[in-house]
Amino acid sequence: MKKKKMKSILAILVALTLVATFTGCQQSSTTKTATGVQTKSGSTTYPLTITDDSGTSITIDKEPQKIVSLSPSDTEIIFAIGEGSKLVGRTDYCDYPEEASAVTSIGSFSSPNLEKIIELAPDIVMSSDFVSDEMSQQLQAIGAQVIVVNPTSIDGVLNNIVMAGEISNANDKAKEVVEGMEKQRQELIAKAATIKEPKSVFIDIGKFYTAGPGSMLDSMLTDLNAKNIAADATSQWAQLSTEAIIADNPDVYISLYTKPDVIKATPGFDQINAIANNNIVYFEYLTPESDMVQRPGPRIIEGMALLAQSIYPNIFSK
Amino acid sequence: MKSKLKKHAMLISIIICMIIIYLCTLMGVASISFGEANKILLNQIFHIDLGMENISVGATAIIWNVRLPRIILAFVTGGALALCGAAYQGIFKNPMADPYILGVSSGAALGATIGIILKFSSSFLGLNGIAILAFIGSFSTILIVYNISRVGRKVPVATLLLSGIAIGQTLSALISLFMIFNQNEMSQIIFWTMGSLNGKGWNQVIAVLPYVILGCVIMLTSVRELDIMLLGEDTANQLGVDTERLKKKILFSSSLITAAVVSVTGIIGFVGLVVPHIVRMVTGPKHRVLVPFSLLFGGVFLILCDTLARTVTAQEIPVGIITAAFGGPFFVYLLRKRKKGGV
Repeated sequence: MKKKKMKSILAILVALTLVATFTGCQQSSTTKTATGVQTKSGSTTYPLTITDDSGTSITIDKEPQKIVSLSPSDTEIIFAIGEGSKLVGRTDYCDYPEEASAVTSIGSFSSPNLEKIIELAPDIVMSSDFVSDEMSQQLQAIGAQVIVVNPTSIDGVLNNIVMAGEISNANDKAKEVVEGMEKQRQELIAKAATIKEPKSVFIDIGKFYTAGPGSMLDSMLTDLNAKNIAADATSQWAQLSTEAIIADNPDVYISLYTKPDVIKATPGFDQINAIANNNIVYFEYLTPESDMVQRPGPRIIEGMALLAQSIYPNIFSK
Repeated sequence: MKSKLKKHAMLISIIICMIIIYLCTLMGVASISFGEANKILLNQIFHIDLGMENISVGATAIIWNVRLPRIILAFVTGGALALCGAAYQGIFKNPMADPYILGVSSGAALGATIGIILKFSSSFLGLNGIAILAFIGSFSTILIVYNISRVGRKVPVATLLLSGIAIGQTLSALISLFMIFNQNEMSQIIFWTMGSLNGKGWNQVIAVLPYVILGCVIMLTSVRELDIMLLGEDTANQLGVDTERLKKKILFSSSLITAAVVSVTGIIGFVGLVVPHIVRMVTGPKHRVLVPFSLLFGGVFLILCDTLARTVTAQEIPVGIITAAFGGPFFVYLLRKRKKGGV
């Protein structure tokens, strides 16, 4: 009697395990990271319906074999999730990783060459919001699905990576990338939270235009426990008058375009803490460091680390 | 009484200008009290110390190194553009003429575009590399336009206008071409072309002043001949005016002024077009009166627009938007008032 009971229990257990593993292999499962970004793992089941950053619902019938990227950050995402071999077209400005230069270029990100894209016959076109509706329609007419990628926060970037992984059936690699980024991000946030006296920062993207509320740079400053002097500006990319900058007296001046000696020569700026203490951080335009800080792609957290080192060099080592 | 007022109108206007300059220096985003600002001004200008110990170095920097030079640059720029606008409207006998009509703005923008793309960063006499290239660009444009329109010794006015428009359009197309092939620099180029007085100080005022003063002196000494030109080129010639020499003088001085101003501030529109018309409605068409008052009123107009641009919101609004927003409707209001029969 006991033996029979044991046998039946064992059988049920084995059956349950088999069912569990079977379903686990066939469908992708979701897990959540600390900040609520859902990652996926396993294989993608097609047809797949996703919502892109423009709110459009898109159905993908089968695993795409050919992808065209219309922005440097999308190119980086595709290579990061291990699907670089599927990339058949990229923009002139896609300079990372190095393997991207071997891919055919289809022009610029704001005015890509439609004929060239059609010639490449992609299944998926990943674009930024620069691409017009008319162009989207023409691409859809030749059978390419246009996915608009336009993240407005770091969570948005992580979601884009998950989405890219889901679309191209690379969920596990995407999960790995996202979890790595999240881990590094949380480490930076935790370290920054220990700072007792936050510094005030001004980010100059050129001609005193700055990253206001709602921009990714602003959210990075918040994460790093630094005060953005433009946090109460009325638009995302506001320009501040030099008077306002002097009055707000930032401790750190981060310039993403203007050279430090030009900043120092600006009338009245020698009174600012940042200039007087030589705390001007210069990310020269179009260098890898500058791209890391601004491109909404897989290296954004490395960019955040660069910012952390610039603002709090005593806390964050290189 | 009225003629007495007219006689002293220039003096009164100059005094009003200075009062406006003073009042606008007290206004700004940074919270500096009127008392503090007055003390700073007294100290810097007349070296009278009425209690400077409590005033921060930052406040002094803002009043003396940021606000005052910016306001004075606004006066110089607005006055220069309005003066050129008045002169061009006279010499072309065209109410639509403004300082940029001969392609000067496109030339300056092209110079700046090339400078930005090549990352030209040297500086010379207070002007940075981009400003120098913009100056060269605008001045070269005038030379090209002049030489294209020249027929022997003469420069027919209509040809000047047409070549100016043609060259201006061609240069604008070139700028767009450069932008398309250098998309990473596109935003910087656009920032430059949107005229702004933000971040300018005494160095820029000093850099611009010699050219503007030289140009204004030449223009102001030509006002009587401009008046005679209003009767028509042939009539003027018969009355003894050397019209070709006058045209060359006006072109040269106007280009000098506009090139200097645009290379430092970018392209600020509307002032050169609308201000002379507004002033003409009050003073009448005689250039003897129109040109100097355009200078004063243009300067004050731009000061007021720039003060609004930098104080109305926490962030800075490009001043060209304010000049258009105010200049346009104000001009329409004056037109309607004149239509109803009474200015």
